[in-house]
Amino acid sequence: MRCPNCGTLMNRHAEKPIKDPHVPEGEVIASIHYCPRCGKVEAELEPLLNSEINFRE
Amino acid sequence: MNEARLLSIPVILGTTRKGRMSAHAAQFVFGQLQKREGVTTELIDIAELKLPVDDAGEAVKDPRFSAAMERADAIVIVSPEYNHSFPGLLKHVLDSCLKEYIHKAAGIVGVSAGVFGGARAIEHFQPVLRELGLVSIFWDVNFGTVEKVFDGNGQLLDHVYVRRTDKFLNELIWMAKVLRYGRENISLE
Repeated sequence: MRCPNCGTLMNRHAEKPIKDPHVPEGEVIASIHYCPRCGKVEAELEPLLNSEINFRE
Repeated sequence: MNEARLLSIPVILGTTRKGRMSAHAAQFVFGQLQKREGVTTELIDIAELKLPVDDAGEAVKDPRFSAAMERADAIVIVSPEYNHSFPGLLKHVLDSCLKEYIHKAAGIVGVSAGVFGGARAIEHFQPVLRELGLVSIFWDVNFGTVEKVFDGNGQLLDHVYVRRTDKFLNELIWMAKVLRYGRENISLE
């Protein structure tokens, strides 16, 4: 991902599960990107894969 | 690390209560941070944010607070202890952001009228900081019996807190540098 501020290639440094009541799995994953030049933070939401679900009924 | 950008370490004053002694502690830590080379800081008073309380989470995000958290490499949270925990409105403010916090350092300054200096509130912060993606440091500053630490004008009466705050800030700045290096250079596989 390119930084929307300065165009620098951002570093994808984290994946964080986020609770989301609007999806059947109850969670999505946010990929977190950081711009090494200006410090801009961006997040991309990705669906959770079946194999990544921790808690099941 | 990108040396061209100063480390940004805002101080969050985490109470809206009238007559709050935490304001003196926040001003003191803010002043100590201003003396550090290579660091830029700002004092964020949650009483001035006036977030709506008829919704929660990122739905009530304040653009100025969000921008400050995005700029931040670390945050200092100055919190009193209310009923053995931290103020609900402070949690409401912290919950309004998420991506802004990931892999950034957090240090807590506890304030109380009693002798423990907010130690129980600081413990309550730990699972919250973890879920927010913040990295908690192992130094705290505990302003216990705070009415004896500052006078009515906020002047520090007990100078032992200068050295304690120095130790706390040394660790916070170290962690902020390490985590910024990681955010800039180390990719998740």
